Amino acid sequence: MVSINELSKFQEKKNIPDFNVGDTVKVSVKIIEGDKERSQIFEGIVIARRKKGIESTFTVRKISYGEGVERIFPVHSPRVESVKVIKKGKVRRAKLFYLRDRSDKMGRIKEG
Amino acid sequence: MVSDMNRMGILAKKIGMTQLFREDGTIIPVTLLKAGPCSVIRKKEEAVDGYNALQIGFLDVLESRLNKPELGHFKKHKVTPKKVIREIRLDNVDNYEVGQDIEVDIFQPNDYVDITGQTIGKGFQGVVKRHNFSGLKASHGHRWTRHMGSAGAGTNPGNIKRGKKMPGRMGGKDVTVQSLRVAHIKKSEGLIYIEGSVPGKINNVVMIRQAVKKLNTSKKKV
Repeated sequence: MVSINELSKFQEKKNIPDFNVGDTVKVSVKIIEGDKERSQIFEGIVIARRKKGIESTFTVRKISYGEGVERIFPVHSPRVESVKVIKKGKVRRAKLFYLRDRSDKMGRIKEG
Repeated sequence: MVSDMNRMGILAKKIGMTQLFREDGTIIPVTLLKAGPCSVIRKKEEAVDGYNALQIGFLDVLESRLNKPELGHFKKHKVTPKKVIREIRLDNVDNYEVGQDIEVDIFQPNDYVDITGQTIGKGFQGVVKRHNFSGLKASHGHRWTRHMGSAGAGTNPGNIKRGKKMPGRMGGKDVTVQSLRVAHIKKSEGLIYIEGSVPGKINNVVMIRQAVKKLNTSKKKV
């Protein structure tokens, strides 16, 4: 029997941009307002990646007006138009949830 | 509304659940089913049997696994032995031949189907889980929190109303989930993607039939 991941593969994107946990990325998201469509940019640090075939997601965290904001994007969603890496980060953990408890200054990530 | 007697169907095996994206990016949960091929074992005709129906079989089985009457039935109609046999009542069975395979392409994406299968057995369960009772209070002098309260009045009427919801066996019975949407179909592999969940565990055999309460009119793709 083939795995379920194989069977939902036909909807997966072929070219997933190469980015990792710790990277600062610019995610362009398609937004539908009534019948109009436009793109919105969400910029922040990737703090988690969940790799589960079509169910794969990644979490981006940014500080907006002093308040931490996190957004979870499905990797293969047609609404996620592009993911651009602005800065590579050097981290030693797969999930950077500890950033939630850090202040802005303490939560900086080494470039690498 | 479709006549209950004239709904084509197919047997399928549950593979599991995953998700798909609609064009606009919304995520839909889907259940994957391996549907068919189901071979027609026998045609029942009005002149002989009093009604029209198709007897279909699903999943091959070793001859040594069957007893003589079962095997005799397959031999009589010259078809390969099947594990699961079901009957589908139809108005007209002239288009079908004995031995013909019924494939998943009897359905299209965006069709609505009813799915019958055996639910997961939960064993002997109390009223809170089985009938969604609220249970009793946790404090204020209460000792039991998951009890059913009163089962009825006292000496008059002196008995408990028939059908009173009580603890007992839960699950493991046949249930039909109506009007589920077909999200996607892969004809070559006999796979059908159903939006939402389907009764039973993985490897459970279920019956997919055209929906009773919804007409299959739209032919849009996911």
